[in-house]
Amino acid sequence: MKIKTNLCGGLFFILVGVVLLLLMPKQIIVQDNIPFLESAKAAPFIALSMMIIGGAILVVQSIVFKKEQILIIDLAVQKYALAIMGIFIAYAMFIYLVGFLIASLLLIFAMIKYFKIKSRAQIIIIAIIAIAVYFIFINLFHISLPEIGGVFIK
Amino acid sequence: MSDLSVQIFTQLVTVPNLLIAIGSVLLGIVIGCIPGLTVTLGIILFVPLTYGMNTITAFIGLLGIYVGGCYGGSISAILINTPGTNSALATTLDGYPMAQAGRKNKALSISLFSSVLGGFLAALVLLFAAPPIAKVALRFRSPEYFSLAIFGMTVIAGVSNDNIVKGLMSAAVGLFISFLGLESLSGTLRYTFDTMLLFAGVGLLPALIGFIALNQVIIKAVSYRVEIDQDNVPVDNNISDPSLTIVEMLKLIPTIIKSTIIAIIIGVMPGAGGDIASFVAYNEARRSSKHPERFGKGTSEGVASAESANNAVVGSALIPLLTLGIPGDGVTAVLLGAFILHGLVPGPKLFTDQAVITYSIIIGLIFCNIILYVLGRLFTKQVAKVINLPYGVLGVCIVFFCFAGAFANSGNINEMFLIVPIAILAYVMHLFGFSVVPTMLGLILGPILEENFTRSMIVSDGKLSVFFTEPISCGILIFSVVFTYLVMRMNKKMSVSH
Repeated sequence: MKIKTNLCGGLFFILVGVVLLLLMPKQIIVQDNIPFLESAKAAPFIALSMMIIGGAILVVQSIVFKKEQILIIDLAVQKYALAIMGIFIAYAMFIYLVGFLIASLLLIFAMIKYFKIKSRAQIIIIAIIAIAVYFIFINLFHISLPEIGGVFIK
Repeated sequence: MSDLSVQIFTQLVTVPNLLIAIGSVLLGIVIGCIPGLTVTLGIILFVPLTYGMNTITAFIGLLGIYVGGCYGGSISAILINTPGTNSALATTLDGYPMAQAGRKNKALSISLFSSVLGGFLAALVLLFAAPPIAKVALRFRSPEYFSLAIFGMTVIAGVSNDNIVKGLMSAAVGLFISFLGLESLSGTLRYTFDTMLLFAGVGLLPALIGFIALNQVIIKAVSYRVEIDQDNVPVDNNISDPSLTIVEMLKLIPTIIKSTIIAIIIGVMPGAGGDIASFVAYNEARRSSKHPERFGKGTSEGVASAESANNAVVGSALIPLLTLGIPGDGVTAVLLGAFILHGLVPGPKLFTDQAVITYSIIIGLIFCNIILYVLGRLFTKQVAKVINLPYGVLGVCIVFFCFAGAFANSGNINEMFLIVPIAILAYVMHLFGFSVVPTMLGLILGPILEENFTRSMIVSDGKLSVFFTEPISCGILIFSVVFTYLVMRMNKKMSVSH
């Protein structure tokens, strides 16, 4: 699948910028007597304007000046990206449900499958590092990590 | 001995600081030598671990990774012709031919000696040049600080490849994310969508982890997964040829000093990082050499010029960071974030309000360079074996640190969840040719820009012209435009000569 990144990226940012600008009155409520440039609206307005203007320039570059960067999306490759994103989402959820240590062991199983790791030594290294991270954070640096059901220990 | 010197000595020379310096420099060498792991990534992952440390120890650790990483990048550049870090790209030109000619140890020891000497000299320049600059900058007010933050954004020109518009849009994404949640000056809530998740905004560290670290894992994991069926050729780690002799060291010193001076000048310019500095220094060494024809075929001067330059940038990039609060490149942008996370505001007041901490950090950098030499002599051959470690193992370990680090930032599980959508957004941006480094700059400089913009508007009754009527502010803005142009030109030249 071929995608024109300047055109699509430009249109995407224009859309996001315009939607967020339209939402601004409801999402940022400031007193009427504060001048706009001194208010909490000014900075987000400038950032969103940058997105919209930048997006418009990209669209013009693409349509008028034919300056384009073509992205070829190879679905056979991007399925790996989707897979690892799915693993990360699952890992975050499992950390919440069963705590960092058990979730990390589940992550190891998933990543062994993903990376096709067959070496026992490598699997042992990963497991040791997972446990080491857990104990380094908790015991050495006294930083709590999630336990089962969102309970944290120090 | 003055009170300040005594305080610096007592706070700096401690066993924990020494241990952290040794550990972090070694960690930096390992991170630097593995292609795919960057110094920026190493520093981001190390930041959460510094929360339990005092500020001096924390920054010695972070700078140790920076110093070690810059040298570590040369190991893989020399041994496998693949730079571990971008700034080691120029090292491949002569380092790899030296290795192919059976002079691996010689090339590595030249790299170590040049890195240490370049880094050491630049750290000395930082020590003596930074305080006078800070003294001048003490006169700055909000308009000047706003203009300085704009000056800091000129880094975008150096990292936007061939499309600065995309760089600016990436920066806008970072700026917008930094404005989410509770605004600090007026207490106004912004774009929270009535969820507690965004009430306090997006934390800087989780954002950096998502945009840089976890995003890199996705990118690298996908490419590794695609290549997984291809056979990996193990690196020949037999490093047994003679090391650098003292006579050879002395011969290289003029090249190293010249390259260091070039790198210091380039390093203080926002946007021009170690990669540009090392190429400019390499080209100058070749131009002024009696035997330019030997460059590219494995000459000692080639390795020395490139390596001294990229390590010298560590010290020089800290000059604008510590004195003016503006980052010189992606790594110093993360360091700026680390300063903010530790409750320090880089800028001229750092040298008056936090003098002990600031000077300790600078002197700590000098010590890190000395430690680098010792560790490099002892462990380079062992560290070189890490290059063979498959990304499958490294990637999983980085993921542990990403999630644990994001959670450790505030103990809020929501921040840990946020890194996943941020990483996905960063990956999509990467696919569409948007660099995430400007996003990172936007995230870090956003609050500084906004605060000084709003203050400037309040004191000038809302006149935007205040940034141009104040002479220093106007001068900084003009410099910003000039530097952007210069950096874009340098980048273009570098890519052409590539």
